[in-house]
Amino acid sequence: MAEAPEFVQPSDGNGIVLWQEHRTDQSMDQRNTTFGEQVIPSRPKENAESRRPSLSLTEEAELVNRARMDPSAFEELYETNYSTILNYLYRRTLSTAVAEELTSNTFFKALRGLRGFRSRPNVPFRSWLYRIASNEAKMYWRSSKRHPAPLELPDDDCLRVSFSWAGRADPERTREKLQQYARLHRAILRLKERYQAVLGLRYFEGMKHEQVAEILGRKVGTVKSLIHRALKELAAVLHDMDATL
Amino acid sequence: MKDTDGIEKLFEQTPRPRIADGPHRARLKRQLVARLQDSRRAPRILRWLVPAAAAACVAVAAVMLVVNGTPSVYAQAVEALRRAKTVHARAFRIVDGKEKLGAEIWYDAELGVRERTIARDGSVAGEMLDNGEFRWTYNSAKKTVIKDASRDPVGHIAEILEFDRKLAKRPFKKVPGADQTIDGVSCLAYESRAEKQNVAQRVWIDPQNRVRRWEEVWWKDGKEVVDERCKIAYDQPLPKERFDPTFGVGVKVVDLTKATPMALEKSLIRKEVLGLVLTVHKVLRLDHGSLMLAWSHRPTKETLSRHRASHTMSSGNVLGRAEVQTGWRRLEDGTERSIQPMNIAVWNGDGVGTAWTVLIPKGPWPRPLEAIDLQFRVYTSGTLKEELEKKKQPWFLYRFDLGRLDLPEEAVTMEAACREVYQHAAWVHTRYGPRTVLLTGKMRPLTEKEKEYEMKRFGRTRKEVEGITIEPLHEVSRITPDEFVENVQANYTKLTEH
Repeated sequence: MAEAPEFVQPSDGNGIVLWQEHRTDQSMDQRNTTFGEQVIPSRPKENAESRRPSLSLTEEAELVNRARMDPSAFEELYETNYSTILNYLYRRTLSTAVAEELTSNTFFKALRGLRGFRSRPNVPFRSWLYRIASNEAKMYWRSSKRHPAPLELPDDDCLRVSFSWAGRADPERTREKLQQYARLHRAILRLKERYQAVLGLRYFEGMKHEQVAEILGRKVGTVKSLIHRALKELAAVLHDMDATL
Repeated sequence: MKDTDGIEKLFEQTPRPRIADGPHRARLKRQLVARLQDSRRAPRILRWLVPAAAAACVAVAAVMLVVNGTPSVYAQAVEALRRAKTVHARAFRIVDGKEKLGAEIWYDAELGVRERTIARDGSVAGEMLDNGEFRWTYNSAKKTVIKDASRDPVGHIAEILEFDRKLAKRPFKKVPGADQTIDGVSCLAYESRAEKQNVAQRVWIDPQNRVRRWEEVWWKDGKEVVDERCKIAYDQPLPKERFDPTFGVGVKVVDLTKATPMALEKSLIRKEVLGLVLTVHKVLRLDHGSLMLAWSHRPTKETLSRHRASHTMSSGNVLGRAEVQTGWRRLEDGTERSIQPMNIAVWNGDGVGTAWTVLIPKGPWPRPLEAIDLQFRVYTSGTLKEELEKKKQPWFLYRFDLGRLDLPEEAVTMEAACREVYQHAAWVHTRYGPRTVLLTGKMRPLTEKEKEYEMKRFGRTRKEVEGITIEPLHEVSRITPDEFVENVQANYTKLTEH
């Protein structure tokens, strides 16, 4: 193993060159002594997202730019977006385990692709994460189509799930509402993947057509048309399901 | 009324489930952090082997991309390597056509990873062992092992696999007639040639999309010369004792995981300036008349509320910095004496920049100092600096009076003070990561290359650059407490000599 590396603080451009510079021929007042920032990883701080104020687009763009060089900035992005992506993928898959796995894939891919990421005006970073997550959901759906698993609602999942308007936490009521969602979810799973994506983003994530278009990389008109056709097809699927029952 | 109104209403009526975060959140973050740390560490840890193994592993991924044309095959190739139960890689330098072992790496998915670097004379230069709980870094020259927290050995291997940015973009072509049977397995040869650089990467992959061999070749007078070679074997039984933390007789172990922190909660002096807070937490009188300060700078709460996006709590104070500026004092006899600061350690984390600075009174003083007037240079940076500039307000202060600090009567040895700093640094290191805290190395003059850079970059004269010395900084896991004490004492001696 080679000798330990040296870390020398780079110049700040003001002539203060190194972490600590000693000039024996100068008086104290003229000396430059400085130490600077080192990029560092974070300490474990969990579930901090809820305490974080939302970032403006400018602030976010700055954070994304820094994240390319500064791992701690990427952690900040992670903390800000983890819950959103996990929840999106949960609503797409209705399985905690799968949602967590796909969330992991999403963030690892984001980490790898960050250098090549180019932010666009008025488009939040989260849109990019949504796009990666949507692709993950698509790949999962394709594989699960070949090996369909029964759509179950494990008790552990039910304990972690809540509904914003469900009133007091009540496992039985939660399960009931989850069953209601699951019925719709089952119907959506029978649609083409592109229909699933637009419906999920539009109705469960509550996005505008423009945002959906941005995430899916399609024109707004195309998205509107896709949503319309998806709704019609969904109505037919639900009708079939009711008829089967 | 639209024909889809009914179904839209159904969406409105169907509740939207929300799932609470579980342990996965922290686990994934740890994995991401480990990946980030490893990606920053890898070139330094493995030096020789990583580029070789990485190039090989990545090359195969690139080959997959070219051959099969789908990213999923690339992913499959990486996954296949990741799924390996064991990996044994040997990297060779090719000298006069003969293989000279340069590094060796053993990876067992259950036991961890061990890497060994071989010096040119054939001796073991160093080793790293990570068993998922602890990491041991052995330096044979120092006969020392530094025991540290694990950095995710699986992630370490995974990182090797993903060293792909440069090579993955290169077009690999099949090399007719270069296919080989390696360890009884028929492997296909592919090559990526960089004509301008007169170099090529060549890989052999097995039917399971795993790289078995990698070579770097170049051409001298039209004749092919192999420079480096890496051989990789998968899923072969590896000796379990390879993963025992044993490094030979008489090796000293420095256990960073048992370090204790220095009490830095107290504020001896605290003042706000330019939207930052400067605090002195601790002062020690050293036995030879010097002082040691532990001090910090951070944004004020108001600054933080306005610049949250710029300021991540996991990094240091990205909105500013400060330097001890305590300069000189006029004595009663009219003569002047100076006090020279010497930084010995720095920790940037938790939203704060913390430093340990030795203050060296220069020349003869009539009596020991009873108090000291502290001055700092203070700079803002980032969005805070921009904000102040926009308001046409100063964004730095050349001299800021923090106030008078009474000094303790009792003195401690410099060695004891340094060891206390090392303990704190080790404590930080194991909790916040290897790059958060850095300790001083021995001062040295600039190398000729550095001098040339200084002159070119900043227009300095030869005389100026000759007068510059620098202090390298070391990660805690790279130096022992004894070395740190030695470095500080050497620097102190050098400064007091003048």
